[in-house]
Amino acid sequence: MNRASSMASARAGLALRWCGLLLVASTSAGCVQLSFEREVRLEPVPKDALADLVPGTSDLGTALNRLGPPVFAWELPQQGTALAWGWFHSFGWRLKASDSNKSGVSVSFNYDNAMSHMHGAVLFFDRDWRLTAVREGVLSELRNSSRARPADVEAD
Amino acid sequence: MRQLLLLVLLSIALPGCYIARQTQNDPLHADRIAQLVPGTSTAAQVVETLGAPTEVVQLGKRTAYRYDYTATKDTGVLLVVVGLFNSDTRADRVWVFFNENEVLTHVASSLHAKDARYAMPWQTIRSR
Repeated sequence: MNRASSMASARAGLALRWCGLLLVASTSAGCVQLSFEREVRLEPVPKDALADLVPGTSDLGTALNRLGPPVFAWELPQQGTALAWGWFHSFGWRLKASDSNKSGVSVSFNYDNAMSHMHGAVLFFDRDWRLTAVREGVLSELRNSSRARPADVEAD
Repeated sequence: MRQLLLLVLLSIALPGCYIARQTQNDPLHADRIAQLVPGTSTAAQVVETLGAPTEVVQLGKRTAYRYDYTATKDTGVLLVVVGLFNSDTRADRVWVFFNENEVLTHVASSLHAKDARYAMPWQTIRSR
């Protein structure tokens, strides 16, 4: 009888502990969150297609045929142009505290903000659309190192 | 009583699961893109065919227009303090390049918005 009573008491204690744990977890859900997240934006640049492009030889038509449409374009000095192809892929665990309004996953895709975390390639063209250089890396860094103010458009 | 307790516990443990779909701009159509002819189509004809571009980029005396349609599919499961989230964003995108006379010189397009998938973070998503 004594043994049965102690077993029942142990069970009740265990159930109480579980309830307590669940209560603590549920009350802290808005403050702390461990999440496993994946975010995919756009498609990777095909490596072999990039290898086919040769500075000094390839032109815009070849680049567009191999890589498809770029994600970004901007003007370079002396009527040059930079075109960027990029993608973003993140995957892993995150621990977040007191940030119940942000899930860590993008609310909506925005081309202007997307560049900051995108990896990819930037192709540089001269005024005749001849490829002059290819660089790979984080797009925002590549753009910051090459972006210039738009040239004045001369009156005809 | 036990079933009721289980129901209460499950309702506490599973406060939120969701799927969400977001799109930006209007879908691009392959048949309209096919109407654009480099060397012939003008900027006005391109706008007439595809509508107003999302972005106009000045490239010296030349210009380029970007058209895009973006689809994002999000899934999430919240298990009290553990969350599992997945977000898949794909896009339809067209770039058209014009010379200084506003005649189309190059066009490139890709239509991948339909490839966006609902998935859990551990599932592999492949483009079609």
